[in-house]
Amino acid sequence: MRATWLALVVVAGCQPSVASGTYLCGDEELCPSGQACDGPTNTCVVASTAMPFTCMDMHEPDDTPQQAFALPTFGCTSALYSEDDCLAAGDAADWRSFAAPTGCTAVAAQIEITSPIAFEPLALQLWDLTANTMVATGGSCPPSETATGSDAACVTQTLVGGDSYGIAIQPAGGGDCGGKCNFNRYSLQVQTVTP
Amino acid sequence: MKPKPGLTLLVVAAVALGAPRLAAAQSAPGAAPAVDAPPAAGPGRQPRDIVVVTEGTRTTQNVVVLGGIALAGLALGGVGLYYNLDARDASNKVTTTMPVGEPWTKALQAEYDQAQSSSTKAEVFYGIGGACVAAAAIAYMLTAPPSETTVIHPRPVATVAPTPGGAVVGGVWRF
Repeated sequence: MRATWLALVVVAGCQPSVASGTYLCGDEELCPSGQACDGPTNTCVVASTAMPFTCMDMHEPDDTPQQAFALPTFGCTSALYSEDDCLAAGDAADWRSFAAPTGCTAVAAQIEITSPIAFEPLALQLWDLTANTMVATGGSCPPSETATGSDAACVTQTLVGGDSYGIAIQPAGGGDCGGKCNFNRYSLQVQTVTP
Repeated sequence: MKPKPGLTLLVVAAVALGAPRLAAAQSAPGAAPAVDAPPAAGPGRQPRDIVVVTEGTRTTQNVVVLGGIALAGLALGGVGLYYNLDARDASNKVTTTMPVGEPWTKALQAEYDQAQSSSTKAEVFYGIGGACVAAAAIAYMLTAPPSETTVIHPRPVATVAPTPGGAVVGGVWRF
C-alpha cells in the first residue's frame, strides 16, 4: 500500500506546470490551459489576472495618406528612426509620410515593422504618393532581425529624390481570433541608405 | 486429533529428559511441527499434555489465483510506470518556472495535453495495480490454511530394559 502512495506522489510530479507569465502568447492569443493572453504584455498569465489589450494610437487621425503623420526629414543616409505605436480594434490603417532626399547619387529606404504574433498580423506597404502608386510591400526580414514571438515585415526600396512617400501599416487579414483580437502594437523603423 | 487406539509409542526417554530435547527440536531450523512440550514432571505429578501443531498447506489453486492477482497488479503497475514516464517526458518539455521568451504553440499545447492524459492514465493504472496487489496480500492472509493440532496425553509407565552395559529407563503410553 505504501508503494501505491509513493507511486501516486511520483505521478503528481508529472503533471505539467506552467508558471504564469513564463510564455509569450502564441498565434491568436494561444496560451496554456487555464491561462489567458495578457494584453499589455502579450504574455500568458493566469486567466483571472489577464488585462485587456489597450492601444494609445499616437498620431490619430492617420487613416489615409492625406492624414499621414509626417516623419522627420531624412538625408541621403540617416540615423535609424524608430517609434512604437498600435492599431486599435477596427483601425483600418496607420499612415506615415516622408520626403525622399534630393541631391543624392542614389538613395533607398529601409523600413521594418515588428509586431507580436499574439494579435492580428500586420502588413506593410510603401507608396509613392507623388505618383499615387504602391511601390513595395513588406516581405520577410533577415532572421536575425526577427525577435522570438514577433512577426516582422521589411521593405528596402530605391527612392526617387524629391518624391513624397507614404508608409501604410494595415491589418494583413485573418489571424484575429475571429475578430476578438483585431488589434496589435508595432515598432516602426525607417532609415535611408545608399543602395 | 483423537488418540488412535492400538497405536503405541515408546518414548525412549524419561519425560523429564525429553522435554529439553523437544524444546530444542522446536527451535532448530527445519523443525516442521511445533510441539508444546510439557514441563518436567515431578515425583507424584501427572505430566502435562504434549501439543503438536502442524502448519496447514495451501492448495495449488490458492497459490495460483493469489499469485496471478498479484502479478496482474504488478503488470498494471508497470503500465502505470510507462505512462508515468511518458507524462514526465512530456511535462518536462512544457513545464516552466521562469520566463522562457518563447511563444506558446500548438505543439507545446499537444505536449501539455499528452502530459495530462498520460498522468491520468498512470494514476488509474497505479491505482488498479496497487489495489490488486493489496487484495492479493489481504486474500493471502485471509485464506491461510488452518493448522492441525495434535494433543498427546502422556501416561507414563515406568519401564526399565536391560541393555549391554546398563539399562534404558523410559515410559510407555497410548494416545
